This record gives sequence, structure tokens and C-alpha cells, in this order.
Amino acid sequence: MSHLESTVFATLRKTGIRFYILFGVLAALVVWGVFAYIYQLIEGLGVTGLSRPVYWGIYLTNFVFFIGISHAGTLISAILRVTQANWRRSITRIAEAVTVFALCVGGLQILIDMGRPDRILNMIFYGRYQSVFLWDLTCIGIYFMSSITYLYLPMIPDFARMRDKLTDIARWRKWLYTLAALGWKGNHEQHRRLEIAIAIMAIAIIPIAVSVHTVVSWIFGMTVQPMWHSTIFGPYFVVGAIFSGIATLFIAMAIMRKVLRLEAWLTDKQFDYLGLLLLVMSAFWCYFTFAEYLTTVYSALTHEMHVADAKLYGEYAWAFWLMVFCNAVVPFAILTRRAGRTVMGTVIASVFINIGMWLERFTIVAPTLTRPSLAFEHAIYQPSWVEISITVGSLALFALLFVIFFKLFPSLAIWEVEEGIEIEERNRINKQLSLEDLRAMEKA
Amino acid sequence: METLYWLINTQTLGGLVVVIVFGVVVTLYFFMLRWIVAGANVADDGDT
Repeated sequence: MSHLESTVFATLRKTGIRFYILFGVLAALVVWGVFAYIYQLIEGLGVTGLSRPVYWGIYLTNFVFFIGISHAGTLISAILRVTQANWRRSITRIAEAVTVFALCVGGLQILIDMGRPDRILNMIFYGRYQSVFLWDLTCIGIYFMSSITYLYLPMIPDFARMRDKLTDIARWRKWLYTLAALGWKGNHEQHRRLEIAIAIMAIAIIPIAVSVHTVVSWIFGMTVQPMWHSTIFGPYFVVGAIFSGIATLFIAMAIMRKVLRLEAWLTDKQFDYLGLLLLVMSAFWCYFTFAEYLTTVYSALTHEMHVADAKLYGEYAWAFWLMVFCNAVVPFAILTRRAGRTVMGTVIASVFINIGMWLERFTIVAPTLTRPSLAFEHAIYQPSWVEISITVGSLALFALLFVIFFKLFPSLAIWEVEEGIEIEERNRINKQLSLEDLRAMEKA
Repeated sequence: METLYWLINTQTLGGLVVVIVFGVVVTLYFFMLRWIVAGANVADDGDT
């Protein structure tokens, strides 16, 4: 058994006390969130801070946030696969898992926000395709199915490896790996077909992922509400999604690197390269934010200015300027220097970016609804304990799904990482050989 | 143009579109997996 295999399999075999403590804490938070949700289900949405005209609050903020971080994964993984970046091999599994779990928790927010979750079926029974919500359902549904497939495909050879090599595990786990391996033999033709399928999925998933956050932005953009009716919302949301997605990926990578002892495969190189990408996304985000706010304030339409004033120096100024600090000041201060793009540096920047991106979504949702263009008095939105509890429970659920998944399945795509090591070795030998040839020619 | 308006503005048809799209995608992915599984029965050049 190679060093890689034994390291990855070690966490699947042994379960320490730290795992149970983490599992217990996260499960307790999830149970608290479920309790708050049951209370809301019984009492109705009146127990939240939502009212007329503020019909969306932090549930929708969470929805956009989680759908955003789902871009971590698949989009980053797919882009790196398509561009054949060899350093991607050890991060793709984590990135793809982030996507699937973020989509699960993000989708859940809509059901929570509905008050009556059974009414989600009305979209199917009575839906008209002119509705943006149906575009959303289509895109997110396809993205979810594609992401699961894209996560599953590279896992098949690893399932077979676990089926064959993990002999000292519970019977149900053995059965699970055997079933998931789909009778994988690993012959040349099967490998060829798997590579083709992964390549097709990688190409297909990029436009799907872009469509998802574009359509999510249109939930807001297709209305005529002040500071929502914007033509740049599509790309603005996609950029924000990739930005927060990479940040989440950093946090996940750093935790797994430390806890699962993956330092040899999640190296400084990955943190450096992805740190640069994070910096570029921060620059894009600054550009879009500046463009969005400048055009609004410059044209100074009455309804728009009510919202802009609330964000820039009114009720929501704290959230707006904290967002700017987290998404622009911190990334530039840390990531512009090579010395800042370390594990610690990128994780600090990523935590700030995730806070900043959640606030960005909050400052999109709440200020506009408290100051709509309809003939309403300005409203106040204050999230209740129910909303806060469900939000904390949702974050814990995301982490819990992650913990359970990597307790059962390998944290790295073992066969892909091995393939990468082989390629690097071959390249090194070829380089050495060509240097020797050159020297021989010089001598001749 | 009228047909298009009818298509996007008739209730239930929207839901039907979503169900059809989901069905097509799931079927495609199922056949892709089946194709990969079937690869196990193709003999490698060295085996023949």
C-alpha cells in the first residue's frame, strides 16, 4: 500500500474521540435549527422578522450565499480539469463535495422560507415558464444532478480500491463500496471511457454553473425594485459566487490538510496559485460593485437613492462598509504579497471574504425590501431568534454533511493523484534526457 | 409568436418542461454510467 493510500485510508479505518466531539457539536446545532424550524412550521412565518413589504430576509440571503459557494467546487474543479492544471488533482474531490453539500443546504432555504413547504409542488402543478422561479428550478436542478454525477465519476475507481483493500471495516460499508464501485475492473477500456465521461462533464458543467447564478440574480434583476433592476446583476452574481466559492474551498482544504494530515498533497503551491485566483476575483468583485453603485448614485433616481442612502450612510451602512472591508481591503492587504499567500494567510482572507459575501447578499435583499418603490412606509427588518437559529443550524448542517462524507469516502482522488505523480515523474525524466542529449550534441 | 406566448404563459406546461428536462438529464447520466460499466467487458489489447 502506497503512502498516499495508507494516509487516506487511515482516516476511514480509525475513528478518534475528536471526530465524535465534532460530530456531537454539529449535530446539536442542527437539532437546534430543526427545533426552530418546527416551531416556525407550527406557528407560521409570523415568528420571523418577515412582514409586508419585507417578504424575504436572511433565508433568501442564505440561499444566494450557499448557491454561491457551490460554485467552489464544480466550476473551479472543471476549469482546472479543462485547462489540465496538474496541481488540481488533490483538491478536486474537496471542491466537488463543497458544491454538492452547498446545493443541498441552499435548496433547503427555499423550503424554509416558504412557510408551507408542500406548496413547492405548486411550481410543478401550476407553474408557467415565464416565471423566473421555474428557470431557477431548472438550472439548479440540472446543476445539482450534474454535480452529483461529477463528484461520483472520479470516485468509482476509489470505491473499487476500498472494496478490494479495506478488509477490516463493517459489513455495511463493504456492501456500500461494492455497490458504488459498479463492478469496476479498471481495465484500459473502462479507464478510457471514464476519462471521456469526466471530460464531457467538466466541459458541460461550466455553462451550467454560470447559468445557475445568473438565473439566481434574475430573481432580483427581473423585478422593478430599486437597486435590483440591474443589467449587470448576472455577471456580478457569478463573480461573487466564484469569489466566495474559492474562499470556502480554502477553509475546507486547510481544515482537511491539518486534521487528515494531507500536507504532502495539499501543498503551499496550491494555496499560492488559488490565492492568486482569489485576489483576481476580489478585483473583479470590486469593479462590479463600483460600477453598480456609481451608476445608481450618479443617476440619483428618487426610489433608488432611498436604498443607496440606507446602504452607504444609513441603517445598513455598517453591513455595507464591513462588506467592503472584508471583500476588498483584507484580500488586497494579505494576498498581494507572496508571503501572504500561505495556508494561514489565505484562510484568514477566506473567512473575511465569506463574512463579506454573506453581508453582500444581505445588503442586496434587505435594504431594497424595506424601501420598495410601492407606496409603503419604510419598514424595519430585524431577524428573529428563529431565523438566526435556522441559519446557524444550516451552517452546521453543511459542515456535518462534509464531516460524514469524508469519514466514509476518501478525501483525495487517489487514482488521479497517483496519475499526476506519474506524469510529473515522466516529465522530469524527459527533461533530464533532453538535457543529456543536448550536452552530448554539444560535445559532438 | 402566439404559440410561444401560449407555451410560456400556460400553467402546468412550465412544470411539465421542468419534469421533461430533469428526465432527459437523468436518463443521459444513467446511460453514461452504463457505458462506463460496460467497458469492463471489453478486452484490453494485451488480453486478446
